[in-house]
Amino acid sequence: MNRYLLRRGVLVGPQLLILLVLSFGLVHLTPGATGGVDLNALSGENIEQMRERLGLDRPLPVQFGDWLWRVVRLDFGDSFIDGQPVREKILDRLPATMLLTGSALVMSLVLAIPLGMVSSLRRNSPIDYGLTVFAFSGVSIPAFWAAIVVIIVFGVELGWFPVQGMESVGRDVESHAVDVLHHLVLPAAVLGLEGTAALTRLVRSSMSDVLVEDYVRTARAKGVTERLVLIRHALKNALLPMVTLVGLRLPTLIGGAVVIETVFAWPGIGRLGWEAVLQRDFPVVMGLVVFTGVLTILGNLLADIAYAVIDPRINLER
Amino acid sequence: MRTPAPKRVIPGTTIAAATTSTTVSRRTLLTRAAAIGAAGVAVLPGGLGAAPANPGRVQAVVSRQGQAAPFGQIIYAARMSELATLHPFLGRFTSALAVAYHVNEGLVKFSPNFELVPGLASEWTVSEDQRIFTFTLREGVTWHDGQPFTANDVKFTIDTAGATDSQSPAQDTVRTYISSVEAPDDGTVVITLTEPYSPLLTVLAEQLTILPSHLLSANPYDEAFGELPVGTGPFRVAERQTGFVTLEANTDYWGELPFVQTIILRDSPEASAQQAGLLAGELDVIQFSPTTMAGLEAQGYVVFRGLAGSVHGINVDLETPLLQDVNVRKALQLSLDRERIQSVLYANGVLANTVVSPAYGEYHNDALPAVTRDLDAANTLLEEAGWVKGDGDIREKDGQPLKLQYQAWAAQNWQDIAAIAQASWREAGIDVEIVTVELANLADTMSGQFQLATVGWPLTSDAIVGLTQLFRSTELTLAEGGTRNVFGYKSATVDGLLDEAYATTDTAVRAELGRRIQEEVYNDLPLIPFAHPAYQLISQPNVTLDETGAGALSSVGPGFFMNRWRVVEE
Repeated sequence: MNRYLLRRGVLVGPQLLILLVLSFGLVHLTPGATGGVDLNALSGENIEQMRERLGLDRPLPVQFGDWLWRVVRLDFGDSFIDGQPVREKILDRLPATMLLTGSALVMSLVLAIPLGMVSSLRRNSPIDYGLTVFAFSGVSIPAFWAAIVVIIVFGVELGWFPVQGMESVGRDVESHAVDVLHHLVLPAAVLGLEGTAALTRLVRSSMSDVLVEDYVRTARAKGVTERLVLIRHALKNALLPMVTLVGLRLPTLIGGAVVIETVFAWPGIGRLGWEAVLQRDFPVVMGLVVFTGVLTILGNLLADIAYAVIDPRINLER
Repeated sequence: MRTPAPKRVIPGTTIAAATTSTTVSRRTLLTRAAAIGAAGVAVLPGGLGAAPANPGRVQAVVSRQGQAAPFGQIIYAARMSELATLHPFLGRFTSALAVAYHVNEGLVKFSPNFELVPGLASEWTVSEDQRIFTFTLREGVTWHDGQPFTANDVKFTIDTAGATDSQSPAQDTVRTYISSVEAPDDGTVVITLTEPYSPLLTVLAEQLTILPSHLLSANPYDEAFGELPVGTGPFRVAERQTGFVTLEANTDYWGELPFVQTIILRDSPEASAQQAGLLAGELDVIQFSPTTMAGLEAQGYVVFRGLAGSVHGINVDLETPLLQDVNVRKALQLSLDRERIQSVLYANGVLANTVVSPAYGEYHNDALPAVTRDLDAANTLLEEAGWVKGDGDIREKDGQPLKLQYQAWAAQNWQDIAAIAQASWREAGIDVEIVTVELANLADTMSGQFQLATVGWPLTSDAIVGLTQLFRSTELTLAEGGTRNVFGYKSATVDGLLDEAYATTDTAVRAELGRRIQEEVYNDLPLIPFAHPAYQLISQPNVTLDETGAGALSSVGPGFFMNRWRVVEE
């Protein structure tokens, strides 16, 4: 077990290195490394001064080494646009994204487990077919399209939910928390849609596998009630693959957040990244790529460790 | 004295508000869905309510000097990332500059008709040699924190702008032309120039907005000030949160009060989100996109259009041997389908006949004969210049084909223009090859590596400065720190006229000189103009924007006269 953890932990090193090289390389291979064109400020002298000030005139490996050393100290530099530290900018925006992605993830789990179970228990029934259609639509519909549809239906036409930002602007609200939750409903629902759909299918199939296992038959044979059979014996085992999948959902959620935060004007790190790309604000882009990349690597590491801890059947000592 | 040309060529359109009803037909719903780009919404039932909401309207109680009290609230879509600093010297984005211009003010201001009018200085005199400007400051003006405004603030501001660590956009101007700023008493400021420099007033109006010395003498670029600036202007920054900045009318303002009590700049980064916000009543004013929001006007939302101060056209490299003959350049102009380019790509702008847009008022030369497409005339000019049709209808002279390179940037609109230009020149027997280049390489490309290229040039708020940047003789290329004279245009006449214009602050004389420069450029054709673009806003039916004029202030954009925006009482 410990050897497994060690081996798994050591793997993180090369993963991180590849991530750092890729994020540095991607940004520096993009044309326009002078920070985009501002016709009003356009003169050769300004551009040269700017390049010098930002260190863009030095050889690439030197820039990489310098950047790496700063990243190790969690210093992602200052934004080209407003001069604020990138770390502060990311930390400022992080709570909004965590609220949004967290809600989406919770929604996915809360909905997918019962829906998947029902689907599995009533296999090939109308309910199962209905849920299958839902699942495949949910996985296939692009998030930006779904977002626009819910905005038109629930925001513009029915007027049930706000469609902009995280809080009401220009009108009094009784409770700030309720106001934020009200704003959260549409973006979280859209962001969680794909996850709900995918996890529903996963629960359905793993539940179906587990239900024909010997230990389930044994449990039933010794007279355990059907409810207990389902929850204690079947579901507990069926949920094992979920641990890995939840870990893997992290990058998907953050990727989806870029779209959702932009469409709903949600002030999170996805928006921050999108705007940074448009403005060619390289320090922010690189900071975010590294930040979310590290999160993903750690998410996977935690999922693997959790998997090993939870499932004693897996022999990791090989 | 000539009659100034109309400031807005296309007047702000006003449509009766009654068309936005509470019942929405299935058809309207479909139109809206299509407008946002979601055709799949057809499965929805029709007949759902959708009245634009008008949140938080509070009648203000203050009234002064018989002026109507500021009233109502307007929520304007903006990108908060662009509003990170509202410091007038540091703001780089149009929205930040628009806010800064309303919170802080210069000694001189622009009127909505784009004339220079007294600001914090009630009057000024210029010495005979045009080198000493004496400003009398307005009395009884206070900063938003109650402190009095004095001549010390003015001296502090200009000294700060000219300091070695200055971050002001006017730093070069101040260092080059201003030799001293003196404050003999609290109400007087004397600015002495190194040489006559008539654009000083424009620079004072646009870039040298006065900073409070009592708050910034220790650190002129204080971050807290950038977040919540203190000024003397018609609006004060009342609140700043992650998602919005609130401006409140300054009821102690020395001049005309704003029409609206509150303007909230709300974070809304993207066109479809802004449109949804407008439809849901969460936003009152957004940028209008003619391609995706065409249906909104018919629903009662009001579009305001203002002409911008920039000129878009074909840049000609005068060092290319084939292009040195002015008749070839004239033939290029006559055969180019400028009307098509304008109607397809600048539907809300106007066809450009000269480089200075009508937004500049009397600086715009409207007496130049309008150029229309004339293939016969173009053909005649080319024949006379010795270019005869040869193989494949391409003209040639002494065995050399009339073949030119055209640099077009890798963006859809520039490529579309290039395609129209290529096709229209082909009809006159001119073979043009389109070379696609990265927009980011603009400076390099424009430094002598092009023959023909399309660029939009902003002319800054002083037309004479704009004309100088484009047409004064220079040996430097853009990449070497030169001006925007990428054409290699050298005209002693134009240089002389520019010198004259710098030596006088008389607006009528400067405008006359500006018009004569345009005439020279019109005849020499280093630049073939085709359009002056427009900016557009769309608002809720009860919000009026159409007194906001002054498109020539393109560095600031459509928010330049937010104090003229108003909410119509229902």
